Amino acid sequence: MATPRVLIVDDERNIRLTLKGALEAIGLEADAVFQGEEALQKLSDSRYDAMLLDLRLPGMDGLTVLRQVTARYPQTRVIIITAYGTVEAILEAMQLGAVDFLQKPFEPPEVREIVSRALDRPEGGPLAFSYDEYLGLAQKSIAQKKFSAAFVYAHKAILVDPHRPEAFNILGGLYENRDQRKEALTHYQVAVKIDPAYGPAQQNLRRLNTKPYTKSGIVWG
Amino acid sequence: MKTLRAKILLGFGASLFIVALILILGIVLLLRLGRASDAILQENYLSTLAAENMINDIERQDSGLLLVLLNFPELGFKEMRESEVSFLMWLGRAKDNVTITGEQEIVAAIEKNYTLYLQEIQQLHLGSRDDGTRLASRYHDQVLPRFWTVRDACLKLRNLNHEVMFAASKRARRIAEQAVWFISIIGTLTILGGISFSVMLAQRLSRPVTEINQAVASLAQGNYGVQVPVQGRDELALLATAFNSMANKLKHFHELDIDQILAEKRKSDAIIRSVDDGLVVVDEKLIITNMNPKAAAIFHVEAAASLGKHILEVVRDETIYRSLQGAIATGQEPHYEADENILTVSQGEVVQHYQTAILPIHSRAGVIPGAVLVLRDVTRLKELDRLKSEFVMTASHELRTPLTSIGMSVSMLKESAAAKLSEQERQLLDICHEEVLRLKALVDDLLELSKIEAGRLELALEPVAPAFLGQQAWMVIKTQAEAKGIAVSLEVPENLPEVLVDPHKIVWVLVNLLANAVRSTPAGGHIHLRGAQLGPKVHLTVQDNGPGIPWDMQSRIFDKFVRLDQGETPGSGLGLAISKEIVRAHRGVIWLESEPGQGSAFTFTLPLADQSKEIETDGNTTSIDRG
Repeated sequence: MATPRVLIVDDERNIRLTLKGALEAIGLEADAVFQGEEALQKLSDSRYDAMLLDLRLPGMDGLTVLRQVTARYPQTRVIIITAYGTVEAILEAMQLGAVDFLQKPFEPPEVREIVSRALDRPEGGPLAFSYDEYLGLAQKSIAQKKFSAAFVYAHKAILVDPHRPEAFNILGGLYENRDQRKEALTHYQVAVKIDPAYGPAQQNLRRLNTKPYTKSGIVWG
Repeated sequence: MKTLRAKILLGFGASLFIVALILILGIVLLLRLGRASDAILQENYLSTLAAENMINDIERQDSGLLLVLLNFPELGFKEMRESEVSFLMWLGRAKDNVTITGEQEIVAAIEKNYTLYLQEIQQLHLGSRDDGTRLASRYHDQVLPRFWTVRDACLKLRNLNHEVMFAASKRARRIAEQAVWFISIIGTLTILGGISFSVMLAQRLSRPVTEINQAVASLAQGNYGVQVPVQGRDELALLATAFNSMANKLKHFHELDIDQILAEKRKSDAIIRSVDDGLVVVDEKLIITNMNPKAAAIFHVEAAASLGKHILEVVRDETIYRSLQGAIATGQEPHYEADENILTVSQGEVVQHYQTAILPIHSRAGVIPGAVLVLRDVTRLKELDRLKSEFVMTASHELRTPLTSIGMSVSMLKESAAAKLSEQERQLLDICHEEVLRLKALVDDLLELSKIEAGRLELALEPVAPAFLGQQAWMVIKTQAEAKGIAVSLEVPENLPEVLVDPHKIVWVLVNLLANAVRSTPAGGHIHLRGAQLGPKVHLTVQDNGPGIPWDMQSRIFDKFVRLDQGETPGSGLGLAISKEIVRAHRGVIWLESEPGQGSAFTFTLPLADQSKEIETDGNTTSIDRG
């Protein structure tokens, strides 16, 4: 199998250089460009297995680039980079086909782990990860108290397969954690509707509807 | 001076004088009456008596003469002699008692005729022997007419005196009648005069008293312009003058007072109107008694129309209402949690924020039921605060990109170039790496803090044993402390009840406090991590025996970017600020007890898991609109 090729799109030269260095250090082939148009040019010239895409770019913005990439090069696994921790922007990118995300500031091991994880999938494109894999990532993030990341992965899992209860249950728990009880209730109910036999969602629903209410004891699944 | 006493004396004196006058008059009249009857006795009775006796005597003399003529000479002469002596004696008395007009002539005629009567008896020569017939005819011709004349004169005298007596008696009766009339009239007049004088005096006495009485009543009702008329110069007039003077002075004081009060009121009105803050003054029933234009503008009402209305009709805010009630009831300013006293007023697109303060009204005498509500426009401050938070957030985000580049570069250098570098160069690289990590931590702290401040702190609450929290934190800090030669003793009892917390966050707080303690405590020092249950809360305390915290820093120690210039590796200056926010998110409080030179102790409270339900319900129903 050919050496995996990664395209780095970031307007910051130093980020481009360090990312390139970090990936090349583990034997990947990496190209770096500073804007969207150039990236699309590169993609039309040659195959890339993965793409690290900054959402903030001069000229054509990251999301537009993402749309075009997923439409034209479905094999490329797009990982977005963001310095802004807004979950909404990441969610939108994930909906548009990004498979994972990197939040600044990151360290080489983190970059390598996420990129390798994406490249390891036999499938390319937006569906590189399975529902269960996203579910696993969400659970792992919850364990590390990275609730925003868990939120993103759970959403992505639902995008992959909206007919399973676990991700809805996790989302319910995350909403409850944020004191958004109505949202939590809706998600638990969806989980139970999908699978009436799914225990964690039932337990969570029961607790949510019990008076007096307590947040402690969310069953994540 | 005509005093009241003099008047009374004069009044009664006059009455007494008149009574005395009447008395004297009566006596005079009585004396006159007495004299009149005396006069009758003196003047007329003696004359009448003399006349009667003279008539009697001359008739006896005549009888004696007749007896002589009838030849009874002895008896006749004796009778004649006796009667002549008696007649002369009575005549003498009558002569002595000539009192009335005409009496003198009658007495003189009696005397003359009686003398002639005696001469004619002499000429009869009764001793001689004449014959009886001649004697009888001589008696008849000469003596008898003379006898008649004397006797008639005597009768005339008697009748004259009788007439005079009768007239005198009549006159006396008239005098008595006059006296009766006179006394009656004078007496009646005097009585009438006395009565009218008494009435006048009583009136004169009582009128000024009544007037003063009415004036005092009027004065008591606040009519300070009242005056009583001053009449005369007596004691009552003096009293009236004194009263008028007093009323004038009172009026003066009153006007002075009113003027002063009005001036003060105008002054305070002007102050209330002119201040930039909204001011609403309420009385004890929370009725608005004053309101300045700014406050009226805040609540979109007319200031004048709002006076007399209940506070809730104008300010529809439950918190302000309760705080006002509390302030009036206790006389204390209400205590607010942070940001609890911010009132947000939206008018269309414009949102204004006001910081409220409530001041009970005090006076020297104590607390006047009432309070002042002050509304300070903090919209600009809030806006600045928001801009600042936004700036911090943006800056933190922007810092992430260069930090990433540096971090990546240093890490990769350490990976690839370490072998080629000298020990010193490797150390330099390590320093870079360490500082990058610190910078990342700082940026993370800043972001975390802005998130917490924006109310976006996510807590994963669960019941945890306090001992477990202490253990976790202790494990993190142990190595660091030991390296510095500081003993950290964990003294959180295992049997403390569970607390409902986000353990990750609380451990973070404990580690932060312990790290601060380690940083500030010199080698050989001692740090205690203690736990205790106090009421519905568990208290966790981190105590060190370091240099303590200067007094001037103690109040600001939980503020952002406040750092003590001690220890070789200063922190970000955000640790305590974040700790405070985390503890607050757990509905706890954190405080510092420190004496410079004696070390310091940070304590915070955590809620018991038993009460978690109650607390959680609260947490979900309380709106976070305020602040």
